[in-house]
Amino acid sequence: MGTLMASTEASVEATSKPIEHRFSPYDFNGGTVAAVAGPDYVVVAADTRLSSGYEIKSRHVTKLHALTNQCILASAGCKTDVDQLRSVLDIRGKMYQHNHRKPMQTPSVAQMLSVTLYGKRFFPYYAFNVLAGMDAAGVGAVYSYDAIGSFERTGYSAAGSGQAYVIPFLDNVIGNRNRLEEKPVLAAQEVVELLKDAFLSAGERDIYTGDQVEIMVVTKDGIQTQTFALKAD
Amino acid sequence: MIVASLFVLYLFNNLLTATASSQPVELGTTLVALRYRDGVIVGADSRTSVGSYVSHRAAQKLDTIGDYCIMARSGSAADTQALAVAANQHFQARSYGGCPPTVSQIAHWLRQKTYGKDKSVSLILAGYDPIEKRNCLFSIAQTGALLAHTEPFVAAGSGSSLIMGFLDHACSRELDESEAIKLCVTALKLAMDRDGSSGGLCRLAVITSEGTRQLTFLPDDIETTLKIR
Repeated sequence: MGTLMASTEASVEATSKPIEHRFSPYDFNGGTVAAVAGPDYVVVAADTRLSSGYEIKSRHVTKLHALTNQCILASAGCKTDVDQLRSVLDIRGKMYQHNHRKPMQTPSVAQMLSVTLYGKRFFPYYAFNVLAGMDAAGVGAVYSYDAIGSFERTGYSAAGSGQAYVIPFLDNVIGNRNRLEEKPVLAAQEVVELLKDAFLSAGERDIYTGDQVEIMVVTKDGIQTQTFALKAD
Repeated sequence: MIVASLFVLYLFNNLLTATASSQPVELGTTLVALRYRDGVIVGADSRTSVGSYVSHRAAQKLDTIGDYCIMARSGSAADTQALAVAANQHFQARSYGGCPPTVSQIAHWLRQKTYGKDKSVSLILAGYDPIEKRNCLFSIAQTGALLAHTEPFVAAGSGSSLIMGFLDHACSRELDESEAIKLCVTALKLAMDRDGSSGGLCRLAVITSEGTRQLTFLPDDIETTLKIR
């Protein structure tokens, strides 16, 4: 995490406390990811900003990775750990495909991701993951993870720096919390519009979220991608 | 080996547990002040942040002190707000004596309030000196250094270093009011798009011998003046 250009401590304190310098293997590159599951679709969205400290390193880096054509991994956190994690999952997925003569189903990918993350329990991947895909019955599935592999299937999820701004909104609109009306059944395009709103709000209040949102809709026929512009500030 | 791995986990944990209470409210900020043909223009972004959270996205970082001086604030929100209140109280009382304060007097007084104190404050003072009848630009750095600027622009705040080259290039000739406003908004927008702790609206103040007036723009639309307090 970056520090502001000058410390608030006056010169007196600089000599009275020992200063410890240490190499940190982690950097937080920011960004927000979210996913919502439906009866026959799942929608995943992620912003495309890559930051380091207070700087923007790139405005156009994807946080979404299709592991199969029915399953997408959305990850925020430390980019290098995310890239390595994707590499490892791709390799294991390919081996599975060779050995079983079919691509991995989403629940199996979910378990594999958990096991892969726990494999580095004592030097974790700094990756906050949301897995989204079509399950074996053709129903949308979203899985939320922590950095060391605990996971749970949920109806919707968000991760990353803007998680705290997106989840309460999805609680209300998708989870129907604090509402008196019947929970509506939403079409994929309606969910896309809701996620655009969620990212607009997250972009206003989180300095690491912005530039563009990449939205993927997964159905039994495959993956469709669209992009949506956010503020660049 | 186990000890080293557990230690890495400890480092990782620290990244995850930075709570809001351990972070101050900061005006990360980009501040720009320019001289133009009829006076000075000072501009600021409108983002106040607590770590990575934007606690106020339409903040007002420009404060009037007297009729002819604007103080643009960056650094700690609390420290600079307290300074603005103290300065207004002090100089209002002084003006009852019949002599309006000059920008230089205000700048020097503020420096006394910040130098050597454990306060995170970085200011630009811009205004018109009604006695010597000229425009003034002063800045007070985090260290407490007071500079009287004779060059055509000053920039301060975390986003300022990103636009120094741009301002050097763009301020090479004298500007009229609309050009100066456009330049100020453009400079702010460039900094806001690259500095994580700057963003939101462009707040401007125009100071001439007639007094001060304040304007607010969306960075992409300077044809429309917003009325957002």
